[in-house]
Amino acid sequence: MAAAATCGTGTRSTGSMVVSASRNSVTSFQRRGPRASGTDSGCSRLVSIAGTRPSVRNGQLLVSTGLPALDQLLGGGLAVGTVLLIEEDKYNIYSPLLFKYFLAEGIVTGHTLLVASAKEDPADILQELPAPLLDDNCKKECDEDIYNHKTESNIKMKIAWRYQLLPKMEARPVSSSRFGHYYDVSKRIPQELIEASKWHGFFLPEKISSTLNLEPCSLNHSYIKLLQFIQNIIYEEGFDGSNPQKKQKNILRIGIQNLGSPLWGDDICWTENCDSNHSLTKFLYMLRGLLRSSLSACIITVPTHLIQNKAIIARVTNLSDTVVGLESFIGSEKETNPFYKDYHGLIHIRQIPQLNNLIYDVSDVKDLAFKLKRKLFTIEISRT
Amino acid sequence: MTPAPPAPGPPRPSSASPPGAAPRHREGEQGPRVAGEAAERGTERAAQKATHDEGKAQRNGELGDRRGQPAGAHMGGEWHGRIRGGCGPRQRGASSLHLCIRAQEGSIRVSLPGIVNLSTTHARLRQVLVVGEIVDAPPLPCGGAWQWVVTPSEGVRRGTRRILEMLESLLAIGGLVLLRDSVEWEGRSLLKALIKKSALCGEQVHILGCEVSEEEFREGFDSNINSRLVYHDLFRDPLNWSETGETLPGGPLEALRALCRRTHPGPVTIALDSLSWLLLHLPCTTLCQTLHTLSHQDSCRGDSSPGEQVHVLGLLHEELHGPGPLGVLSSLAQTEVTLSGALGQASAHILYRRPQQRPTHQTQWFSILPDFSLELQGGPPLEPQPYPDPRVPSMDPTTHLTFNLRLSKKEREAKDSLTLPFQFSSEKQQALLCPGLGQATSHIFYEPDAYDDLDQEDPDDDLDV
Repeated sequence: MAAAATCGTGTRSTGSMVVSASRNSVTSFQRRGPRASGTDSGCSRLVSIAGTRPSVRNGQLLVSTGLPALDQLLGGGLAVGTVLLIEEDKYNIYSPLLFKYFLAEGIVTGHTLLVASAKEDPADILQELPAPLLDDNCKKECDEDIYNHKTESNIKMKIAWRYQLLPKMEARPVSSSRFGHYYDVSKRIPQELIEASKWHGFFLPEKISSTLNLEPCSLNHSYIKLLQFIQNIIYEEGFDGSNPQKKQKNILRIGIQNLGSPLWGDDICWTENCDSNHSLTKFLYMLRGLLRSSLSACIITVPTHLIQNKAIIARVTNLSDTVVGLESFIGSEKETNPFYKDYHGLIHIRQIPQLNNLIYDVSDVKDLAFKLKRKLFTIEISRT
Repeated sequence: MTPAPPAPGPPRPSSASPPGAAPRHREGEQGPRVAGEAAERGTERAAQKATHDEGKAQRNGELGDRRGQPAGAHMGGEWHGRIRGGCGPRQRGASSLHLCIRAQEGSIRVSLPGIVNLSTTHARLRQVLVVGEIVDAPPLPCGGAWQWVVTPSEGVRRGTRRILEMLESLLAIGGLVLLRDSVEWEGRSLLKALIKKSALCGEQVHILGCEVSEEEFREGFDSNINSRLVYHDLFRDPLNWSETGETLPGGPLEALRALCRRTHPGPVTIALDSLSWLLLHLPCTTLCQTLHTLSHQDSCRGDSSPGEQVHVLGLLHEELHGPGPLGVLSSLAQTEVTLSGALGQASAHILYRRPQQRPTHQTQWFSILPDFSLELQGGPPLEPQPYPDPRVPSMDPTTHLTFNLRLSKKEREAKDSLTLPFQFSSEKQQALLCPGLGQATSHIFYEPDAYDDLDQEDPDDDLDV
């Protein structure tokens, strides 16, 4: 499988490979077998849950992050039971967008959501999710985008014209599988979708009464409350297999916003040597234990540009499974750099987990940039 | 704080005194005082203030969220204002006039309902409105209302708009406004200017004073503004040692929480005289959480109309804190103003962080007048690049290279007309570029070159195998 994968991504010269690679850029070899998504197959090894698919590399159950481009970079999707950590950009404009994509994907595929935030009410966050694009609409949108791209690149390349066929990470929606949907950022999700979905909210100012005089302990009280809340939901709704469920199994998508900021009661953003140096790391450790034993996936955004102690950032990175860093160009000298004039920022894939594997599943491109168009958030290889 | 230079003398109105009026004012008499303000020496100052409608003005309810604006020609609406006569040491008893000022497109109408001492009033009002130009001054009727039509002069209109925009734009977004000052460029006067603006707009103003005494803080405000300020004093006795019961129990944290819990509806401005003092006395996370609750009070009340915003103005001394607290408070703030300057002129670098939009920033040179109104300046008189440009100018990667990357025109033409080594017709190129629908197989397109020797025979034929 690994050899096939490298073969698929490596060869781009011959016409046949190019034609099929443009359709599915991960690998041109399709795995024949029971399609796990959506169908009730008799295969007992794979769990057939809506919105998931097994990974072609290591057989892990994957969920989509909401952005098909990001799914490709992470090796097909986010593995169930892992943590996706997003390092926020400086003015916190693009990381909430990835957060919302993840939650919107959960609503569209029917997963249960758990949204935790100290800044905004979870109900407000859910109101602002992007609207999903239906299949015929989104094909039209993607066609337009790819056409625009092609016309301008037709003019540019005279000698290296075969490189025009290199996919720019804008994978077309494959209409046969229900894994990964496209969203329109300029529109809001329709109200009936939110009402039809099941979600739990954790808004910190409501859960903690600030007048109590709390003695300091090793783990922050907000984090303790959040962990208890997550544990309760997992136990009550049976995501850890404790109650045999009569209904179909489902995935719990957890989203925690701005973890580590002082609004959560954590002062690692304040000083280098603070009392609660280990609160966040302990929280992540316990959270990962909860996730590994249940059918859930988690997205966390952390303002790492504010954390003063670099060792904590390293520990936080090590304790998470997948780490994606966003760096926006606003206010930095890269804004006027002519190389980056088409993009809004860089995206760094800092870590990809080794799950039941001996090798990393790292993509071979390192210079990735993102751009927030009016309707889409696209990730492309920055052509420097 | 550098004192503002005196404005030039008022331009004499182009139209002469209206026929029929006998100006009974004396030559040296100065212009009228706008209600309640401290005596001013110059007519020009009074004139400016009157035009800026900084007297006690009540909005007539037509303007939406524009509050207490000066009578600028670009706005509609009606104000009622009061002008009190008399000024300086030769005050002859205050006589107050009630004015009705109506601004319609391009002109301002001033009308005086009721019977008043018209002749002296007229003369005084002429000096009041001298910043604009009186275009139509009808003769005075004996009684009853009459009207002037005044168009403000161009410079005033522009300047008014800019002054409006700076203070108003600072208060437009709502939420936390962070004023970062330093030892050389102090920010308390800008804080007081914002407080004054909010008070004049009719908002409730609460002040948490920690660094200076109440008398010193209230100095410079006139009495109607002072009556609108609710002052919570934490300077005199912060730890409540004297136990007189005057100070708030629980200290600064309790005072902040009490402000969070207020139930009185309406827009409110909370000024924290110094966030630095609060940072040094309160645990940081508690302060951040309380600030967040303070600035987002309206959201928990259901729908929040833009007029119901809460403004939290915080003064922060930059040198007292490290990069950690500064970064955290910047990320919490919706508007951030950094004060600096050059050559005696203060400037404000303002960063607007509207939710879910790209942050924008702006730099304004300004000075604050002794009565805490804002005056915008153009910039320091000498322009030697006052502060380093935060952005590096755009890089041109083809400079400073040891090889030549540029093409002259002839070279470019030669390059364009070069035939490429592989012969490819455009149709075949198109066919390969667009992924065709029915092309599942691959094709090899071979066009023999001039030197190719295609021999159909098998070259191995003569082998004896």
